[in-house]
Amino acid sequence: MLNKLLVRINNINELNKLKEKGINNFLFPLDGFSIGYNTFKVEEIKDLDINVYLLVNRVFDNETLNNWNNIKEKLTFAKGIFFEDIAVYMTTKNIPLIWNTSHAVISTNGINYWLNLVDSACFSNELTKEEIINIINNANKEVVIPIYGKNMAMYSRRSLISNYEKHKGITLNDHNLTPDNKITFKEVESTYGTVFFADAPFNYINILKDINDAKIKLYYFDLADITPEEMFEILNGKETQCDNRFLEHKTIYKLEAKK
Amino acid sequence: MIELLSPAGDEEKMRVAFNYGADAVYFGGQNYSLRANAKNFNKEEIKNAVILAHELNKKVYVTVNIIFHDEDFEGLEEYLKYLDSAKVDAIIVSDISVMNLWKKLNLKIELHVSTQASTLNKETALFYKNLGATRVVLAREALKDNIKEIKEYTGLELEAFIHGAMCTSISGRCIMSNYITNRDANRGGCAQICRWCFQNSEASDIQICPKDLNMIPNIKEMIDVGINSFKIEGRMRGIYYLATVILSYRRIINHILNNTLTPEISDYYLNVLNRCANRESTPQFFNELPTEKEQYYPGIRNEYSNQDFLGLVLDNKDGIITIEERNYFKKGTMCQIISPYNKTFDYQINEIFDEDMNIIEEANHAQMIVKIEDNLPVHKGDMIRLKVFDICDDL
Repeated sequence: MLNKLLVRINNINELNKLKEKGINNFLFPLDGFSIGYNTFKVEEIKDLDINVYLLVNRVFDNETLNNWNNIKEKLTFAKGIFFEDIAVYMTTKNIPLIWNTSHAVISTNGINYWLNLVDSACFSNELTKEEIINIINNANKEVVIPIYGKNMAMYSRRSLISNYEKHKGITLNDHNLTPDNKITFKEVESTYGTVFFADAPFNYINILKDINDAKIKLYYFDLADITPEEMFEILNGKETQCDNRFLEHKTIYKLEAKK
Repeated sequence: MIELLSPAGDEEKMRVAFNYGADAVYFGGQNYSLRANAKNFNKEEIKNAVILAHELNKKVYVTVNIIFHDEDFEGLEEYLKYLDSAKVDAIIVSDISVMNLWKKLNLKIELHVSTQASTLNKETALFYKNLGATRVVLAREALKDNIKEIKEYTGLELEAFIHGAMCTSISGRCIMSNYITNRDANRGGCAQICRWCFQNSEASDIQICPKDLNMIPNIKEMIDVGINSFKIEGRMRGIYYLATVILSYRRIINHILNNTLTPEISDYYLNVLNRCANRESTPQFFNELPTEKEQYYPGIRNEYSNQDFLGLVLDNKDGIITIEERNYFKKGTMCQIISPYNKTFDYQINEIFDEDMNIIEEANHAQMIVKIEDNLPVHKGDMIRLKVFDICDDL
């Protein structure tokens, strides 16, 4: 499985520890085109002796698109690009693409549509175990499934917390916010907007035994805020506190269904 | 083409929207729509809505804008074929698999790309055009230059929201509702968690939600950069809100097209619109990214409902005007009568009669039928509101 493991790291120092253990696929949020994570510049990653995948998860406006057109020719070192915005598909040739639109990669029909156009698709997290298995079995190509990480729960173009801080004349040091004292979201803000991550990670390691490995291109492990050592413990089956709500329970579609 | 596009939560609201100046309405059917808990329209109602709209030379768009899980596709093909056969003018779609199915079925009904698809750039818009879409509903985050460039690059019809509630997130990019309530935001169950107060170890009053949208000051520029359809949010809103908002934008657009818009008229409608909603509204995006001024904070202005909507005119015959009361009024109340047919005018209620023409002092029961006797240019469907502002519109 390690040869199919794709890991998003937070800093370049984590790379060697993971390479030593046989991991060779890494996901790097690309500076200027990614939101919510530590980002990497092309110069930092283009000559690494690994399979470099790029995360391009911003919704593009025309200015971002222009910037993309200026940089894309320099990205041919990449093994693949995980893209949020269709503009990446429209403008990028000669680099494998992985459809990764937030919360949209959730049906066999949608995934197979994109698999006819691009190289792979990375599942969204709002799927039950049965849905994941069914879609994998019916997918036209190999797919990418997230197996650990923190789910992005909201992406806004607004500077939500700094707006609040300006209004109140304060600076918040604690970026963990809760609306109900039960679930906490971690807020991350940049010039490109604000994102909220669910603070409790999902951990889908236990369902891998039920998944057809032949249909999997990559297993995506997002280090989030754990160390490489902790990652291996989790891969080896260590139970950790996690939130697998979507895996275990369908979300409600029509409110009538709840009554 | 300039189109004023209104929500229609049900048939009554659709009639109000058309009456007050909407060129087209949008609504959801019983399934596949992002207002899962709204009344919505059944198939027969959709068919009748189209007949009515087309008789008035107006249009009907139906939202099919959830993001589909596998289980949701059941019945979709038949439904799209039905909408096509009912001569619905367009479907509003965000899921690529629905667009693909629409294309495979070779339907006559037009494809509009929903704002849920978050289109903010010209290449993404071009992708949808290549797929067969005739219109893109832009992301609410679109800035003026983006819109202009998308228009010039694609030639697509562009639709933009101009009034109503705003998502805190980029539309479609939020599942906080799924986390907190298990209601699927992208399948019509959004519980608006972003309007709740958040807390952390340092503060208990962190609010992140934006004020409502109100683009009155920007309509002319929006026309100039290529917006074709001006969309109002609010399928769950009442008829007074709908009538006031539609009428205000109808008259603003007419003034622009006739080159008669003045700053005074613009300010007047801005005030009227701010008064008719229970939340503060302001322009957002288009000219610049929102700042702290476009966000809500506790204590600055709590949400409230006023009682401005006094009554709905049911009939005007032989100088006897029959009114269905909506909020308390009494003899002497100074009101204004709004109408799609006439200039809004001030009127003091001098006498009130009950249904049997007995004089009464006040109208104090919700939906009670009262009458006034006067020779006024009012029509069925006109609305009576409390006078708050002096009128500033010569039509």
